[in-house]
Amino acid sequence: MSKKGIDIKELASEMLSASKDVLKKEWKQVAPIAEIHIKTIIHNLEQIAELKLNKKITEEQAKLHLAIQKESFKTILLSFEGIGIITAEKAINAALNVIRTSVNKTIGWRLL
Amino acid sequence: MHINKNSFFLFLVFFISCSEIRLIQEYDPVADNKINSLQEKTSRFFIKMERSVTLPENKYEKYIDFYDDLKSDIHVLEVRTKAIDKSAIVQQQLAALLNQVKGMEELHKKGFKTKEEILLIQSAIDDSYTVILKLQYALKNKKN
Repeated sequence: MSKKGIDIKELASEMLSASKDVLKKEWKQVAPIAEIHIKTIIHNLEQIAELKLNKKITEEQAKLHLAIQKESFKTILLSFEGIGIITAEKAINAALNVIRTSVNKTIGWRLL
Repeated sequence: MHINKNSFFLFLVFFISCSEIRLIQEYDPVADNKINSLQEKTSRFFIKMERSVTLPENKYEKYIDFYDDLKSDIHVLEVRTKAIDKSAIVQQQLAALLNQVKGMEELHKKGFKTKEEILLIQSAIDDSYTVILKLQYALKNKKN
């Protein structure tokens, strides 16, 4: 759907692509939830465009609305980045535990 | 390069004995509770505004205290979070939330004319709270 210069489909694909770039390794893990949030934001962008076209809000108000949606997108990306880091941390510590157990077992007493 | 077996063993002992590797902040229950109460406060505001967006009692002037409270609560939380090691992500989330509240305040000053405007802001701010709390939940369950 196009709203006077805003190609929503293209925008959706750009947002998803930008999210994939930012999240990289975490993307597979968070993709389904991230896509739902991104779709909501895109729907909201459509609504803002509609309000502006129907002169229910001014350009300045539209810009403020867009800024609020942008911040929402930012918090979404940050959350998924954080969840990815937690996953990585868990994996590293699990691996360290395996080594720790193995070293302790090899020397026969609890060194680590 | 030749590495002595004993040196390698000592290095291994040192490396593994560093208890656990920490890449992100520990869970902060106080912050989590505060975020939940901020979310409740914001929700109550949206319910009132949705009911009668154009009524005189919903004019910005009647909500100055609400905005002051909300902004100062988020700011207090930001300061608290800054004191926690490796908390950059949560700090940035709180800054984004604060920007959203400031944006909403600006729009309120100009006057809301339709319910759709409120729903748009609510959707964005609710989404922010949801993902912020999602991260808090993940931090809480880090040890599991």
